[in-house]
Amino acid sequence: MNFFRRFRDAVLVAALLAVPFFFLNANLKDPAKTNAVDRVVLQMSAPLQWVATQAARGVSGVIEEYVYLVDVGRENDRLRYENARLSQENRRLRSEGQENRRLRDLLQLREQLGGEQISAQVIGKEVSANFRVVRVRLDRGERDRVKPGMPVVAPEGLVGQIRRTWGRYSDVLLTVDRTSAIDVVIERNGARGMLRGTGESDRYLCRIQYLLRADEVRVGDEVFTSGLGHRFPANILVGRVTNVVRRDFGLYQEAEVTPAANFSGLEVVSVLTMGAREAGTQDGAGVRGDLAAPQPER
Amino acid sequence: MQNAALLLLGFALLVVQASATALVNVHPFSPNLLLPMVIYLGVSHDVGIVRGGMLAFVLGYLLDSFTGSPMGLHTFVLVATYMLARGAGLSLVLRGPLFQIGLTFAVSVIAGGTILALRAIFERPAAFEAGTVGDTVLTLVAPALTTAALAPLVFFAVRSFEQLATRRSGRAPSGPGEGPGLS
Repeated sequence: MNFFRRFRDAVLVAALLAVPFFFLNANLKDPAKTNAVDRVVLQMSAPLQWVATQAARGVSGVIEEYVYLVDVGRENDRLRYENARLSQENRRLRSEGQENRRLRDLLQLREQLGGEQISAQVIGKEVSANFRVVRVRLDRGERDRVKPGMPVVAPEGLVGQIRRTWGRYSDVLLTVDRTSAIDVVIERNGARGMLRGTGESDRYLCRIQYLLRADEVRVGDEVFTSGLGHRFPANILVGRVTNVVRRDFGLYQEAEVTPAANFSGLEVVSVLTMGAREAGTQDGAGVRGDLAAPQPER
Repeated sequence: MQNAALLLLGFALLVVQASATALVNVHPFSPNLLLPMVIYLGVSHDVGIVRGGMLAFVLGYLLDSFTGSPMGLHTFVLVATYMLARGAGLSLVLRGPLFQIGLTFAVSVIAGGTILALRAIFERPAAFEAGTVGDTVLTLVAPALTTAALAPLVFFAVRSFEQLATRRSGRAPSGPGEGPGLS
């Protein structure tokens, strides 16, 4: 019994060593040179090989998927961070671009107006209940030689004048303020009048008074400072006519004007100090070229 | 039960080996974690020669599938390694990690030499380049070093796994170094 068992073990051990040997031989042989034994071995090994390969592939698939997902998660985190960083940078660049554009406009305005000017940053805005700006505070004041009455200009047009100054700060009286009065001229026909703010809390609006009834004023006409009184230099765009009120009687008519300057979006302005009030002979945004000799159409 | 547990462990070791080598390129120091396991089976008192040979055969077959080697290459090498460990009666030298490392290194080098020899015999001349002596030595020694370094861990894992499986089946385990050597 013991002999048979030993014999069986020996045969099995020999078979365990021989089978892979045959497998190897059959698998590595040139397919054109395989004999009948090799083909039998290949046929026998094929199902086993299929099972083993499927098992290996299944497990490696799971592992690969897991590793892939881990990588995807990591990549996702990295991309999310990168996205946030780039978005922030994009916002910063856009903001810088806008600031750059504003400063360029301001520089252009400065060149157009000539004279002595001071750039000022808007550091505060007082708003009405309807979120309309009623007063603006600048970071320039007495120490910067800013005085009450000095015109304040934005690239889009006239903002107003300095109301009061103290230290390094000053308040601006906007053109839409009820107490503001500016002598203006309508570019198209040279009609003159007095622009007063309406002081409305829900919209930015001025009104031109003392416009001669005979002057033909149209909606859309551009209104510029006339330069009379030497408070404001001539040819600074103030706004555009949005409505004309002509009564059936009287010598004058009125026109409603929407200011050109966007008070809600003001950030940087220019304060005209000396000399600028006499300037204004060049073309440009917010400045008219030939106010000295307006060409009325009438 | 024990056979299935051991095959499962071998499969797990293969997965770890394949995943680790896929994640980190350690060539030519790629270990063969099944080799220490087969050595352990060879010197274990509980594993009969036929059973051990069958386990080595299946593990070798799996290794061939995982590594993409020609079918039969590692199967033959693992069965031969099992027979070598079984026949040599090395249980006494497996008492400490240093001996385990030394033995695994020696067996790994022999197994590597066998693989090279089999490939030289069976593969077509164009498919197998012998390379320089330095390359050949590196091919033999580098994986053997890594395999030997990891051998104590594999031995521990197999022993623990076997003990767990034996406890479940209600028998007392007797791994290598815990009883008289095999001869």
